[in-house]
Amino acid sequence: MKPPFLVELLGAHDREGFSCGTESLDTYFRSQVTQDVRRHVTNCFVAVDADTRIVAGFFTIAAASIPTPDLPGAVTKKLPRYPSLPAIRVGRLAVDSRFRGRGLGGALLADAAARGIASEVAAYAMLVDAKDEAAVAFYEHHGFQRLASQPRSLFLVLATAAKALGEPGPRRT
Amino acid sequence: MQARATLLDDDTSIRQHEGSLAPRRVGPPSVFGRASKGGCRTAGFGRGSLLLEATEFRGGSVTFCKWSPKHRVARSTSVRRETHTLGLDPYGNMPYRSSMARGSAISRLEARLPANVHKILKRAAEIQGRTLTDFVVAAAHEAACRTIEEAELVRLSIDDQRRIANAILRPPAPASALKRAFRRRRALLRNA
Repeated sequence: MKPPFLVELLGAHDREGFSCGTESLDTYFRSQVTQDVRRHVTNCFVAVDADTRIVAGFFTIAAASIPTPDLPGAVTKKLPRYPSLPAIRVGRLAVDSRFRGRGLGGALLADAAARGIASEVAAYAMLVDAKDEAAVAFYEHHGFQRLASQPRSLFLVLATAAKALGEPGPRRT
Repeated sequence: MQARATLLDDDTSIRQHEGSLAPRRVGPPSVFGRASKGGCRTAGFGRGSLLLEATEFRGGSVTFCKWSPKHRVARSTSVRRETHTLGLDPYGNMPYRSSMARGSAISRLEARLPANVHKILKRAAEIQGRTLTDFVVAAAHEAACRTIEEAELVRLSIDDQRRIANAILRPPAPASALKRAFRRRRALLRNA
């Protein structure tokens, strides 16, 4: 079976019908995301049902940088770049209620990570912002770790995701 | 203050704003009354040229006077205007000028604000010896840049920095849910 969704950069998609059940995410996607994209605050990818063109889910992804001024030299010397670590940040990720229960959220999370791994701009970590405790649990389930200084943000190093990306999966047909 | 506009500052922004008026650098200005250094910013030269602003160094302090942007230089001129003590940038430019996109189009912003806020802004601008517009534009620009920069910066505690650094140096094995997520990505997303 062909995979049912296409991942596309947000363009002229119908955003009005999108409903994930979380009011703030819906409102953001319907009325604010295009502004953020236009101002280069973030990029937005959507998963579109290949047959109906209905937007089934979306995520926003942006460049971030993590200053590491407090690390001892012995550690930073081994790090890829000093004094701050390039990262990607997935600010928002949501799946429309009609498309729940198929693992699309996880697939989009993996897609965001894959984009970070493939990105020409080096990124070493992936940060996510969780809206609520359920979202925190979703990310923790996928191996993300909470940040003590930003309780609703979690991180995953992309090297870990790259290992998962390399795992053999079912063949595409 | 009285100043004589004889200096043409080579300023690409003026050239582009004014189009037909090509500025040239012709030497130091002279200021009536005192031996001093300073500069005037004009577009074009001599009679009829557009006088934008002028600086005068007097007794160690920089005095700045601003003409209406529409003010033309009449003869080789003296013009009276209000003066402010001003912190110019190292190139003798208006502090906000260097932060403005040089040569790019000028936009206008009109803002309604409470009278008391207006008063405070005016007072602050006076303290820094700038016009209200200069002060507001510079302050807002600075705040905007900081906001954008901050949005990208992720400030973490020492502990978090250490945890991320350790994870980068020794990446943990992926959780089984993450492996599943990548498999679902291939199964669900056509162009993955």
